[in-house]
Amino acid sequence: MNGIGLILDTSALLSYAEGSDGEVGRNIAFQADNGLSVLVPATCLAVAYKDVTSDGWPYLDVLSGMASIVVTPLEHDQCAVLGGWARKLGLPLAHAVVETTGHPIVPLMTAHRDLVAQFLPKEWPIIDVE
Amino acid sequence: METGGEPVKLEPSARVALPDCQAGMTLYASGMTKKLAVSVPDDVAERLSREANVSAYVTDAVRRRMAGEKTLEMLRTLGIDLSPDKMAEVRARYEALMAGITPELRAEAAALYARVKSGRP
Repeated sequence: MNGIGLILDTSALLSYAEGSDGEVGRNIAFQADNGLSVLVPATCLAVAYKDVTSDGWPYLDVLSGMASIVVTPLEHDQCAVLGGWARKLGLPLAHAVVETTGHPIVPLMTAHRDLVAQFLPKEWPIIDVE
Repeated sequence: METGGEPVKLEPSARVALPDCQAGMTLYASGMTKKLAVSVPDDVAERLSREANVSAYVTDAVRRRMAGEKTLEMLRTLGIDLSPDKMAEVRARYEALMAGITPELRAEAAALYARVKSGRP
């Protein structure tokens, strides 16, 4: 597996799949062009599939098949922390934040800066999803 | 620089039909290796000289590049604008973000990582 250069949460996946301005796709491309991978927590991908429109569904299929995308499962040893944080963040965002803490210091792309800032150090790099 | 072992040619019975554009090429089954001679700059040669397995190192680097190329190709197919101007904007924002990482943040991140790994954040 390549090194991780970026982590995407559900909001980033939905922005990518719903054909926004392409910013998420360009951030994936930037990492891929630098030989790095983009991490997608499996719970975020599952919820994106739940919430995406039928038009956006194929975009998620394509993303899952990209060589530069790494989909990570929810592991047993993450459950206690993740469950606690999920009380405030919800399960998928908590999974994204737990994965982020495991990759210091890799940016998280999310539309929920204020929420995740409560669990990450103040200056942690966040890329806002518009 | 030499990489890999001797190329192994396939028995005729194992060969498959190829498009005309590949006619005349030596055939290799997927997963086989091919010996190559390449020229590299001095700094790259110096770095490779410190690798115990140059073939594995170069293969890994090229495969990373190939993965990136495939990803970019897929994103372009989806209609995402990867023009140099747009990509330069992404690069600038990313580099500005990463430039803000301080030793203090690294220390905080390491401490948080340890707490999360322990299961008691």
